[in-house]
Amino acid sequence: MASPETFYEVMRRQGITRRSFLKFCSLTAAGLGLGPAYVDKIAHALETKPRVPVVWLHGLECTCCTESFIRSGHPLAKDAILSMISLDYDDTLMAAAGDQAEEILEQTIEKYDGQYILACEGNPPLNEDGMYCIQGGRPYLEKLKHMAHHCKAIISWGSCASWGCVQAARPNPTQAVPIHKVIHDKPIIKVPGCPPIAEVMTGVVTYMVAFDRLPELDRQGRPKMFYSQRLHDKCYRRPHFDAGQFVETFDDEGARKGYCLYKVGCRGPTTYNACSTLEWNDGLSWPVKSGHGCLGCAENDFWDKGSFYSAVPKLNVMGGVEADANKIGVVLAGAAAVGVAAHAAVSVASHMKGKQAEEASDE
Amino acid sequence: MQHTVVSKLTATFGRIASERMRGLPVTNDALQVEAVGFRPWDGRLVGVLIAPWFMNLVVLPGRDGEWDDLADGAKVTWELPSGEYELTVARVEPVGVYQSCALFSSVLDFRDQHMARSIAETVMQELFVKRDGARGETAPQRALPQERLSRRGFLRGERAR
Repeated sequence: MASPETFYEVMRRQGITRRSFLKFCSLTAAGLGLGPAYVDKIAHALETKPRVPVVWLHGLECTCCTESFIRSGHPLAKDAILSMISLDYDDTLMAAAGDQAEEILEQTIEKYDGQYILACEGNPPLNEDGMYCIQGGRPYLEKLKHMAHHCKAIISWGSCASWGCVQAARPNPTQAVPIHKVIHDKPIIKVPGCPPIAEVMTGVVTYMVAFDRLPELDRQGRPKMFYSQRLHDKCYRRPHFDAGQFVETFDDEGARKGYCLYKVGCRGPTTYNACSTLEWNDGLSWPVKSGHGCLGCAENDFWDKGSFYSAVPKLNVMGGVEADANKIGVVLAGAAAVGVAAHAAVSVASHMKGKQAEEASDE
Repeated sequence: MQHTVVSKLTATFGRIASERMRGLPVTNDALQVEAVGFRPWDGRLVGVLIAPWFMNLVVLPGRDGEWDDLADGAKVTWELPSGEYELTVARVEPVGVYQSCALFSSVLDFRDQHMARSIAETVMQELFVKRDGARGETAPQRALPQERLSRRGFLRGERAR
């Protein structure tokens, strides 16, 4: 079971150099939108705090969240994350099986009641008393509720746990529902995406371990540091949108010139995620960069919003615009000075920020 | 010179509005193309461009061809008095290369040109409010009144700033 070792000790034992460790800390700080001052804080926390016990449950899902997580771009990230947290139970990664595996759950509750983080990948089906997902001889819903009752906080990994995703798409025969529909008494952090970006996943966990608190969440329960901007706002093809230059079909002149993919269905204008800034596979590329529109996989009900290849009919704006000029001014000024909040505020300021966080005042 | 470049910019986007963007569901018919508050900054021109389908912060080059070497879509960080902002390199003929930063990606919720203009003017004001490493010194003055002193703070004997 979990040892009192710190994350750093585990890393050192695995032969990871201090230089790599610090690099991981600074990459993570940058990914979280925190200034250089926070690198030391993260490093210090990881060196001194005992590892956080995590129980990782799988409901109805495809395991793409796990795949994304363990294949984080930075070579250290997978070691880092698997060392940082004491992953006491994860049926994809653990060696234990059968009764032995299920016993770990009870041991975790006994030893860490109210302290462990429950990471949920996938969601529970409610139809036929939950019979569409049976684990260890009982419905997943029961297991989820049992583990949630004793946990400290829940991370809803991916769009399944956050919104429902494909198994909850119409007509949803199994009545699959996202975690927040069945668990009401615990803090839930939604990290949507199908899957979420690896750096976002490691970033959220690192933040929780290093600062011993939940990241700031938006109205829908997503960490603001990663989900406060639409892909469209930071898209490198954005100037083509502004100039009215669109790809009309996938093999036309516009496609070759890298024009905006809005007319062929890109969901960038309505999708809140970090793809256009962090990109995927260690910053190598992302869907739009490879010539295909965003599917909007981090948004609620993205399967039920019509064809992936027809233009978004209505672009709604969240926050900001309905306010009058004075209020916008207030938000802008506040966000600029607070720094970290710049990434958070759903405001004109947050759309403009680059590295504002470096001005962050110490909290 | 300044006047010429900015009017070239608005004329160009005015044409785009009536040609390529006409009838698209992303355009707000209550708005028209307008350049707001353009002013010289570090040898360049900075201002806000309103169009029926976006509102952007725009930086125009100091001289023709200044940024021709920059790749389309590249990101450039600009330091304005209020902080650093990341802009994207854009190219539109006949203006040439300029840089922009999205303020609003959909302007459908703007009631009218007046509302859009007043927001653009506010943005320009705020951009040039100096915050030189003030580390929050300016923020408290501007914070919403109810945030100045929480109930918990009050009970602990803290004072409103």
